[in-house]
Amino acid sequence: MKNSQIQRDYNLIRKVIDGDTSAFRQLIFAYKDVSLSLAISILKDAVVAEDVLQEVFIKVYDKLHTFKFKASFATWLYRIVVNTSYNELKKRKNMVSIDNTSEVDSMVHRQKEYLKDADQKKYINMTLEKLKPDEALVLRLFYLCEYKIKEIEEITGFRSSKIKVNLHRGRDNFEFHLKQILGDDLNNLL
Amino acid sequence: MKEEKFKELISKSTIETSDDFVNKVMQGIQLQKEVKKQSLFWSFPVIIIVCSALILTILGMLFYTFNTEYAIFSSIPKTPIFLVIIGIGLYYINQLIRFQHYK
Repeated sequence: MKNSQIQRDYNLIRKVIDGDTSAFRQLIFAYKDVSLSLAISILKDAVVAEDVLQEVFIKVYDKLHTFKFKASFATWLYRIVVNTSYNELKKRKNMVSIDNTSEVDSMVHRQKEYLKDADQKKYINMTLEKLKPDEALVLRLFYLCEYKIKEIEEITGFRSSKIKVNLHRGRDNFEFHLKQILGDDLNNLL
Repeated sequence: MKEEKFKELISKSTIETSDDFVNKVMQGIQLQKEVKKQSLFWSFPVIIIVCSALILTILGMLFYTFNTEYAIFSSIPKTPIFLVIIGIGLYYINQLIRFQHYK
């Protein structure tokens, strides 16, 4: 992350602590989309992920005075997003247990129909939705946020070996599912 | 798939929040602030300190006035006044415990 970006965040955080709520609006604008993408990687549901994200930002506002101006705000925020999303996932797993083998097959079929008019972004997000939460999360942190393994360790709490395994499997599975969804159209996307 | 192509594809995976997301968050923050204000007003230590100070002051005043020979105070019955003061104190403590329970 660029130093200017980190400094901008620090200035905004200081303003928020001094009572300027509009500064917090700017922080939300800067990080809401990537945060949502990370939450969706884990929860696989846009509505639930957005609810979780709302909760996260309210929590962040409340705890902003505890932020230490040593690390980047993004890393701090994403760690909260990841932890809260995993907690929500645990709650949901306890509540509902579904056999999703047939569900996935029918989803692929429905998506193929739907994908005729979809753009690249939709194909990619649908493929990422099919990956395991850990794989999708690590892929997004590595390729979308461009974090290094060490930073991903900080955000997720995973060991570097687990991150590397998830990156490797994630790449393989992403390619596999993308081929499955697009079939012959894959060459057009690439 | 090549690493660069992979990066290019995943970098397109950002998902936008709904249009009113920021407003919803800000509303949530506002709501939380109001709840906090309320809970600060009714916070346990504040209530205990205020009630104790109030009861002690009134008791002190009553003892002082009962021990003096003012005709106006000598006619006031002591026991009911004590009971009322203790009753008010207990009522506030009960309210506080109920508030903490529902919170």
